[in-house]
Order: sequence, then structure tokens, then C-alpha cells
Amino acid sequence: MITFKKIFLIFCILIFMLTSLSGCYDARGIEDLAYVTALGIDINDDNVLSLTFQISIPGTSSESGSSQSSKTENTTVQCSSIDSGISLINSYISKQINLSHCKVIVFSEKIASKGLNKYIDTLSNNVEIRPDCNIIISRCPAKDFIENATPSIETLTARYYEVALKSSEYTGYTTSTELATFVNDVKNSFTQAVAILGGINTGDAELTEEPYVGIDGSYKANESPIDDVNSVETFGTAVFRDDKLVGELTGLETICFLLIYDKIEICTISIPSPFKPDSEIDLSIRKSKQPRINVELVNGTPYICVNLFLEAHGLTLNESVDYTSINDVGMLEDSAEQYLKIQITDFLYKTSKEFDSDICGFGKYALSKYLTWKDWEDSKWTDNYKNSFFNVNVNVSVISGSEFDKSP
Amino acid sequence: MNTEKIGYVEAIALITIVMINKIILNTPKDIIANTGSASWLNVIYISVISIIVVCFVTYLLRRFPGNDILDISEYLGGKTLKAIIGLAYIILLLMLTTSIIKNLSETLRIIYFRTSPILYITLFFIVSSIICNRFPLKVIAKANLIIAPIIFFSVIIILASSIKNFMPQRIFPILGYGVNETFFSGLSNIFSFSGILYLLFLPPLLHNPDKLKRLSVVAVIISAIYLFLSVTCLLLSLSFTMHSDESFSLYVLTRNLEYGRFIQRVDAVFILVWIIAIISYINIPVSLCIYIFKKLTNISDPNSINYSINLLILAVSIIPIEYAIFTNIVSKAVQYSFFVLFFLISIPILVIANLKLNFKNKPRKEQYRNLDNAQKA
Repeated sequence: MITFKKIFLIFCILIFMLTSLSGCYDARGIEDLAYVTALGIDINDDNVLSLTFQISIPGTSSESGSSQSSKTENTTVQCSSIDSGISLINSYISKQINLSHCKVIVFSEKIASKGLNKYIDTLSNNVEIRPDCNIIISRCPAKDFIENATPSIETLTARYYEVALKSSEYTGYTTSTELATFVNDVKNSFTQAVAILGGINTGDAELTEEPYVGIDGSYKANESPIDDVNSVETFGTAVFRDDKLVGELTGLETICFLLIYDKIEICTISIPSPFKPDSEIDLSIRKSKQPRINVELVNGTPYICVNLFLEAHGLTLNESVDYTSINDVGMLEDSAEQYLKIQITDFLYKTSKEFDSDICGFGKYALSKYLTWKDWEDSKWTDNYKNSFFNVNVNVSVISGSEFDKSP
Repeated sequence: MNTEKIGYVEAIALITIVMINKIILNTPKDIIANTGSASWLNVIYISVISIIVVCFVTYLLRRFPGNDILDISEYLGGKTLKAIIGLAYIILLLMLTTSIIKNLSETLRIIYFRTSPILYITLFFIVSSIICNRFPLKVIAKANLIIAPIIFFSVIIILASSIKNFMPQRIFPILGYGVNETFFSGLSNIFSFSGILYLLFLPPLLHNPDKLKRLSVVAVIISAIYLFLSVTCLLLSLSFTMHSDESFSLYVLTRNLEYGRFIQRVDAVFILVWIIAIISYINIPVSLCIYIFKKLTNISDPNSINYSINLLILAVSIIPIEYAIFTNIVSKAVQYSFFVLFFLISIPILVIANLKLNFKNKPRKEQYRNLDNAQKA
């Protein structure tokens, strides 16, 4: 009897191991899937959708120690919808398209200006696409952007997108916009959406040897004077009203936006030197306190007060600058405050008068003035934003120089 | 040691897990959809109401120590009323369990098992329910006690991790869709605390029925805190949940979580924890159904009923009906049935039974009083 029990137990264990350790008959492994790292969405003149997939080709073990690869294959398909395009590609390539590693979704300016609602709804409905997938608005066709998006100093394509788009944290020249945030902002009634502005560096921008004030940040994507032809760049911000692209911000305007939106870690700005005419001083700035924003409604017109508190470290060092002198530091602070106040005020009036788009989300500060959603909707904040008046105050504390406080 | 009765902490875990599973299964989203930015206010309001209701119900039950709603119904209206109430509760619990299994199976199919037949996914829950319900409620309560803290922590981790996405201004406008939606029609959100109906069956199952009030209030307070945190987190993190109709709102939160560059896409871990939690939870209504049936029919072996009930749930769960129709009809039906059965039938039964008891005891009280007076004289 004991022997029978033992045999029965062993039999059960064997059956359990055979069924549980052998895997499912319909399991899908990595070799069955084509992982898309970037998805480009464009529209042609006949309103036909053009989807471009950048598919990662996994390296063999002899090529690298990782299954990831810098090798990519770009495939474009003309289709009527995103999902039908994916089905068409699935019938064409040998593997099944999988979007779970998609790092960026690139929309062309053309499609973005027509409205993205139906595309972002479809994308956010897709469980494979992660909410942290970045949204780029390309100033060139999405297909060209993706074809030129090849990593030069990064070996892995997916990581290239991951790292490249994080540069906004330490440059402030563009903003990191994830799908979840973008959808949220498009659907909200108290803020408007923004996205990363991308383009291809054509090398046409003229480099000049003359120094000039504030110019370094006044570019947009595909305008920057970097001597690297046909590489993609993300610079500036695409501005939306509802789901439609209405304008673009330069690098410096993006810094202003991020300072108000409290989304910047650190950035470098060039301000006019108070010590030497026609020269500039570079400051590394970061926030010292949370921005203080107050929205009042004066006779139904929004009156918006923005108070920014920044600390700066001087990066420029020459004979004319002495960061140990209280007088010099005071002059530098005044100059920085004046410069930033003008830039931020100009930026805010640009968003209200030119774009009519509350990208800084001032509406959320006005929400508390209303008791119910009906009151809020009746106030028509998004339409009223263009009538806004701004009062900007910037407080800059120059802490020190960098390695030295004055020229050695 | 009594192997059938459940202890104080086990009972708290039992009631709390019912309510916390409702949090996982989209209750916060429903509350936000009904009351908008005032949902946090609504949760505080319905929590206070629930505590008052619980205190009232336990006060009414106190007069019948060790008796549940079935015994009290029998006392009030005989075996007929007992059978009607018992059957009504069995139907409600079956509908509740079916809607949960259907909801979860469909969600799992959408998220992970696109090509798998719904029967396989549903069977997974049904088989576990059949196995667990072969054991007495004491065992289920003990197992539940192990799983409850894991679920508590999983919810807390999600809530703590989503702080970075918070926008505090989303709590405004403070009255949301209006006073009526927040405080009057918003009262229907008390369904989030539907776990309180289990209180009606707890007294005979408790080691110490005297602690019923205390454990009920503690369970409701714990659940209220969790509900408040979940609703607030969803409200502050994702404003579009008010407009969309995703089937698993906490899952949407988990998809946004990442801990540095190395720990990303942790949603699968939470889904695993929730599957275990929901398996643990399903056992409770099924076990209660078996308990009621056993009490109504006096059967000696409840195992056959265990199979029948679970297979009935399976059969209803896999009816090829559109998910949207199912959600709208069955979920609403469960909600209305709960209100009718709990508030309009069970509580009045308890009140009338108490009055009857008072009335019956009155002559005896008068006798005692007369006797006292006579002795004093």
C-alpha cells in the first residue's frame, strides 16, 4: 500500500512538473514579437494615415551580451487607422508588432495641427503602450524624423530615446511630455497640453563668431547651430490648444515655461553683463523655493501674479566679474531678475495673446474660486485666458561662482 | 479551542477585505464619476453615515446575542420570512460574486490574456473557490488574515508612489458637480461599504459576539481610510478618470509607477497580489451562501452545495453577454438589491424584531416592577 502511495505521489509530481515547467502551448516568446521603439504618425494630402515603425532587431549573443540592439528596421505603411496599420504590418513582417517597448510617438506638425484627439485616445486605449511613452511633434515628416533617429554615442536604440529626452532636466530647452500627461492636459479644462518639439538638423543654420545676448536659447528644433547634418534634435516646445497644435516655443521660452511649471532641475542662461556692455554672463539657475502663483478675477478678467524664487551660480569668469563683491553680486542679481522678468512676461503674453493656450495651467489656481463644476464651466476659462494680465516677479540670489569666485 | 468560530482580528480582516476588494475593483472610479472633484468630501460623508449605520445595526443586534438576521427573521415572521430573507441574500451574494468574477476575468483578458478563452480565466477563480469552500469559514478567515496585510500594503505602496503625480488643485471646485450630487444622490456611494451586510451574519460565527460593535466600527474605519486614500490619489493624479470608463482604475495608477530606471512596469506584481486578494475575497460570499443554505435546509454535508453554487456562478459568468451591458445591468442590479435588502428590509426587520422583543418582555418587566414594589412595601 505504501509503495502504491509513493508511486502515485511521484506520478502526481511528474505530471505537475511536466505541465507547469514546459510552458504554455500558446505562449509567445521574444522571438515571436517585433518590438517597436518608436512610432511615427503622419498624414498625407489625401488624409491617409502614414505609420512608421522603428523596430528593434535583437542582436545575437555573439554580437553583444544583451538581447537589445542598436540595429533598427524602419517600416512605413499607409492606412486608415493606427490599428489597421499595425495589422497590415503584421501581415507583412514575419513577427507580431508589440508596442510595449515603444519609447516615443512622433506626430508630424501637419497631423498635430489638424487635431490629435482620436489618435491619443486610441493610443491610450492600447494596453501595450506605456503611459510614460514620450510625445514628440516633429517639424519634418514623422517618417524622416524616425529614419534619422539613429544613436551616435549610445549603443542601444531604446536607451537612446530614454536618455536623450531626459536632457530637458538639465538644459530646459525642451520639456519631457509623456502620453499620460499629454492625454490629461488635452482632456482638462484648466490647462492645455504641450509636447516635445523635434526636427532634423539640416546644418543650414549659420554659425557666427560674434557673441550675442540670449541668442543660444532662441532656437527651435532643426534651427540650432550644431554642426551635425541630418541628426534629429529635440529643442523647444510644441503648444496645443485642446488637441490642436497652435504654436511653438523656442528653447529660452521653454525655460520660462518650465520655471513657472516647476519642472526644471537646473539650466544655464545667458544674461546681459552689467559690468561690460555687449557681453554676457552665464548663470546656472535652479529654483530655491516653489513658485508662488496667484490668480484673481478682476471684473471677470484673469489677473495672474507669478513669483519665482531662483538661486544662481555664476559660470562665466573673467576680470570684470567678482562673485565675492556684494556690489557686483547685487548688480548681477538685478540684471538677472530684469532679464528673466522681461523674458517670462513676453512668454506669458505670447501664450495668452498669440496662442490663446494656458499651457502653464493657471486655470488650476482659479479652480478654487468656484464652488461647482457648472460654475467653472460657465466661466469659460480657456476662452477667457486670452484676456489675462500678468504680473511677474523674479527673485534671483546669486550664491557664488563655480570653482572660483573671481578670476585667479 | 473552538474550531468553528472566528476571532476579533479575523472578523475585522474579513469585513475589511470585502471593502478593500471593492476599492481594487473600481469603486473609487465610480465615486469620482458620480461626484467629481467633491469625491473626497463624499467619501468622508458616506464614511460617517456608514459608521452611524453600523452602530445602529449592532445596537439592534445586541438584543439578540449570538443570532444572525436569519434567526431574527424566524423570530419575527417564522420559517417563511427566514426562507425569504435567506434566499434573497443568497441571490444578492451570488450576483455580487458573479459580477466580481466577470469584471476581473474580463479585465485580465484585456490586459494579459488576449487570446485565452474567458472560460479558462473564470475557471481559475471558480476552482480555487470550490477548493477553499471545502473548509469551514474559520479556515477562510485565517487565510484571509494572512492575505489582508499584503493587500493593505500593496494599496499603500501604490498610493505613496503616486504622490509625485499629484496636483492638489484637482480637489476644486470643492462641491464637484453640486450639493445634490455630493450629498444626496452621492449617498448611493454608500454601496462602497456593502461589506457591512456581512455584519448581519457575523454574531453566531464570532468567538465573542459582545465585540461585534467594536470590530464593525474598526473595520469600517479602516475601509474608510483606504477608500479616502484611493479616491484622493485617483482624483489628484488622473483627472481624466472622471470621463473615461476604464475597468480597473487602480491599475491605471500602477501603470504610471516606476522606481528609478531599474524597477519599472511593476503593474504585473500588483495584478498578481490583487488576483490572490480577489480569490481570497470570493470565498467569503460563497462561504456565506453555503452557510445560509445550510441554515435554511439543515443539510448535513454542504460540499454538494459548494459545487452547485460555484458552478452556477461559473455558468452565469461565461454567458456571452456584452461586458458593457453586463456592467451596466448586473452591477446596477447588485447595487439596488443591496440597498433594498439591507436598508429597506433587513434594518426594518431588526427594528420590528426589537419592538416585538420589547413588547413581549413588557408584561414580564411590569411583573418584576410590581414584585419589587411589593417587596419594598
